[in-house]
Amino acid sequence: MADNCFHCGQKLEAEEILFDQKQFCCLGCKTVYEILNLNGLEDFYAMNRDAGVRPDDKANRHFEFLDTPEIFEKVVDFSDDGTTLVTFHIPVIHCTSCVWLLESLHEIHPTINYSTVHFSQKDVQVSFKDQEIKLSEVARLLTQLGYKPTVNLQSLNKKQDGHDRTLLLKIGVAGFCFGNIMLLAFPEYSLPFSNNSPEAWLEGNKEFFRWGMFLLSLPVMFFSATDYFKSAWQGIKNKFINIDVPIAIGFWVLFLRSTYDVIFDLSPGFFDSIAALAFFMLIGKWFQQRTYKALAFDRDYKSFYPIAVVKIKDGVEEPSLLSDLKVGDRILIRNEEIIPADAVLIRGEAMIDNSFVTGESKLIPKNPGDKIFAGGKQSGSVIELEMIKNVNQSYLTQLWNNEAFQKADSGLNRLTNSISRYFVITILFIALASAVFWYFYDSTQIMQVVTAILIITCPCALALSSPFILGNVMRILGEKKFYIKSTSVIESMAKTNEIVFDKTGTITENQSAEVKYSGEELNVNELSEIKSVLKNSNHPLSRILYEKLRTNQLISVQHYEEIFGKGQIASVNGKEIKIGSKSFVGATDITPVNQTQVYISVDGKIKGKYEFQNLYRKGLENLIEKLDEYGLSILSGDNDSELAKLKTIFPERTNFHFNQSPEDKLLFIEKLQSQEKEVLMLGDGLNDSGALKQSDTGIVISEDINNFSPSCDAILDSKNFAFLPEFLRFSKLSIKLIWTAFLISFLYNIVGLAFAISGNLEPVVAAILMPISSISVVIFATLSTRLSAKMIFKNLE
Amino acid sequence: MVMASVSLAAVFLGLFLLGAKKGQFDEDESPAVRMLKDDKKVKDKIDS
Repeated sequence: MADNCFHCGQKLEAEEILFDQKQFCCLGCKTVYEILNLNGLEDFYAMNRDAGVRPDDKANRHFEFLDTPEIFEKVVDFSDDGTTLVTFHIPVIHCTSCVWLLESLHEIHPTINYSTVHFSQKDVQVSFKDQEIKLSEVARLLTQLGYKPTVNLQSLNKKQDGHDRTLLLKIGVAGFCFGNIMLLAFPEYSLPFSNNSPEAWLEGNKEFFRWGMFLLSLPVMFFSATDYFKSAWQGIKNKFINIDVPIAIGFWVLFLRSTYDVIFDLSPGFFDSIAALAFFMLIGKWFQQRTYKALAFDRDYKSFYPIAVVKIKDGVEEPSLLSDLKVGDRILIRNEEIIPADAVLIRGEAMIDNSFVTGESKLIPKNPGDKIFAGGKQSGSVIELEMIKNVNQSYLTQLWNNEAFQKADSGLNRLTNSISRYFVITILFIALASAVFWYFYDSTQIMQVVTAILIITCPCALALSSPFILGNVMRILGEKKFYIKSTSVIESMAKTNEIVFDKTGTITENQSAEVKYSGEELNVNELSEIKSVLKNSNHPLSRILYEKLRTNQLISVQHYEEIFGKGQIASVNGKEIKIGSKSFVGATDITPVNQTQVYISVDGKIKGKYEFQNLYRKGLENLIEKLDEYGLSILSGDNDSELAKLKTIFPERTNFHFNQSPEDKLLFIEKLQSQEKEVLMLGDGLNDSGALKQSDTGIVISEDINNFSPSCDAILDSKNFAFLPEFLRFSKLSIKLIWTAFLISFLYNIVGLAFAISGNLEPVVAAILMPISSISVVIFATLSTRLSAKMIFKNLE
Repeated sequence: MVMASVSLAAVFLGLFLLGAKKGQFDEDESPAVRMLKDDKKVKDKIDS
C-alpha cells in the first residue's frame, strides 16, 4: 500500500485521513478532493499523479480587505456592469493539472464566468459576476483549493506594459529577407559552376535580381539591425568599444560596398551576407534573452508585505492600504500576519516569529509596551499595535536605502567586450597595413581590399559564441534547479574566489531540526498522547516535534490550554500532560544556556526532554571539502553556541562572525571586496538582502523557489544545495568554452582575411564562409556545453 | 515567378508579424492543456 497522499502526493507523516477509500495527508487535501468530486472534476487525478497542491491550513484566509472599494479598485483589472476581471499571481502553479483545474473554476462556482491561466507567469485571470460573489470570496475559493493568490504591495505596481515583442518581429523580418535574398542571389552564384558561356537570360535579368536584393536588404538595415547600431553609437559616445562597434562597422561596410557594386555593375554585392548576419545574431540575442519569467529576482520588502492591514479608527475596524498608514495609527495584526512597520504592542499576546528577518524560527514573546520591529510575523491571537515609524522608514526597510541598492546592474557582457577592444584595434591595423601594401602594388584596388577586410572580419561568430554558450549553460543550470538571473552571473561566478555563507536557513535546514530525547523512555501510548496534545499548538517547536513523533494514533484531548510563552497543558486518557519550558513543568536539571528544549511531564512527573539542534543540510561536509580553493566565511545573526560544531565541519581558514546585523553583513562583504576579492554570498532571508546585493554573486537558497526570496542574482533549490561546487566548476569551464569558440571564429577570420588581403573576396566566398563560421560556432556551443555538463554532473543526482 | 514567390513569402511574413503582435508566442504552455479539457457543461446536456 502506498503511503502517499492521494491528492498532493506527499508522504503521509504527521497524520492520515481515510476518505472514499483513499488516503489523505491533511484535511485540506481531503476537502479539495471532495470539491473536485462533487463538481465532476475527478479527471484532475487522471492527468498527472499527485498533482494536487496541499492547502496550507495555516494560510491566512483573511481577504476581506479586498472588498474595500479603494483596494478593490487597485487590485482588479476591470470592473463594469456586474462583471469584474482580476488577475491573481499564484506561485504554486506548476503543472498541467493546475492549469486544468484553475481553468475549470466556473464549474465549481457558477458565478465565475471563466478563468485563464498564464502558465509561464503563474498568473490566473478570473472573470466573475461581482453582484453575486465578492472578490474576497474568489480569493478564498482559490486558497481553499490550495492555490493561494499572492496579494502584496508589489502587485499594486503590476499594471506595466505587456511583452516586448520587437525582437521577435525583427527576427521574423530578417528571416524573411534572408530567405528571399538568397533566392535572388542564387542565379549569379551558380554561374562559375556552369560550363556553358554566360547564359543570356541571366545577363538580361541581372539588374532585376540585384536591385531586388538591395530592396530586400533595406528592412534588415533599417529595422532588424538597428539595435546593434544604437548600442555601438552608445559605446562610442562613452568612449568605450563594445562588441557592437565592429559589428556595426561590418554591417555598414557590407551595405555601402554592396550598393556601390550594384550601381557600378561590379558584382552582385553581399546583400545575402547582411541578412544572414542579422538573422543569426538576432537569434543568438533571443536565445540569451529568454529567462525565467515566473521567478522574481528583484523582489524587495514590498513583495513581502501585505497590501493592507486592519486599522482601528475611532473604535471601528476598517481595512486600510499600507501606503495610507501613518505614525500613531492603531493596527490589528492577526495570526500569521506580518507586522508592516516598527510599532509598540498595545494589547494582546504577541508571539513574534522573526524568521524572515533573522532567518531564525523562534517565537519571541512580547508584552504590552514592548517595541516590535517590522517584518516579524505574529503567531497566535490578535494583537493591537501602535505604529511608531512609517512603513518605509522602519528598521528593516531602511536597509533598502543603502547605496548597494542604488547601483544598477550594468548587465554588460564583460568578457566579450574586453576582447572586442583588442579585436577592433587588430583589424584596423591589418586593414591599414594592407592598404599601405596595395597602395604600392596596385592603388586602384585599395578600397576593394579594405572593405573586404572589414566585411570578412565582422565578428559575428565572436558575438554569437558567448550568448549561445552562456544561454545553454543557463538552461542546464536551470535543469539542476539552479536559476540564474542573467547570463552575466555565470561570468561573475567563474571569477569567484571567496564564498560567504549565512548560517541559519542557509547551511541549516529551515523547516526541520535534529530532535534528541533524553530521560525516561516513553511507550507507544504515551507518544500518541503527547502527539495528540501537540496537534493543537501552532508553536514552531510543537510543529517540528509533531512531525517527528512516529505514531499514527491520535486520541481526543480534553481541557487543552496553551499558556502563552510557557507551554501547553491538557488531559488525555485521564492523564494530565504538560509540554513546555523547564520552569513550566518544574524541572530542575542543569542545562547549557543556549539550548532549545521542550520538557514533558505526565501527571506531575517529569518524563524527560526533547533537545532541538540545528540540522545542517545534507552533503554540507562534502561540499565544504570540495571548496578547498576558495576562501570561506560564515556570517550569522545568532550567538556562537554552535561554533564548536561548525569548526568540525569547516576548515581552519574559515572566518566566523556571529551576532551580525543585516548592516554588518553588508559591510563585511564590502570589506572583502576592498581586498580585491570576488565574493559569492549564499543567504536566505531578508536579513541577508544587503549582503546579497553587495556581493558579486548573490545566491538565495530556497526550500520552495516560488516563495518569497530577497533580491539576488540566482536562486538555488535547497534540494540541490550540495551541487554548489559543481555549479562553480561548470561556470569556470563554460568561460573556457567561450575562449575556445572565440578561437574557432578567429580561425575562420584568418581564412577569410587571406582571401580579403589578396583581393579575391568574391561575394560567393563571403556568402559561404560567414554563415559556416556562425553555424559551426553555434554547433560547438551547444555540443560542448551539453557534453561538459554530462561530465561534471554525471556522479550526482 | 520570382515576384510570385516573394509576394507569397511576404504574405507569410505578414501573418507571422500579425500573430506575434497579437501575443501568439507569449505563452506556449497553457493552450496545450486547455485543449485537453472537456467541456463538461455541453456533455451533460447531451447526456440528459
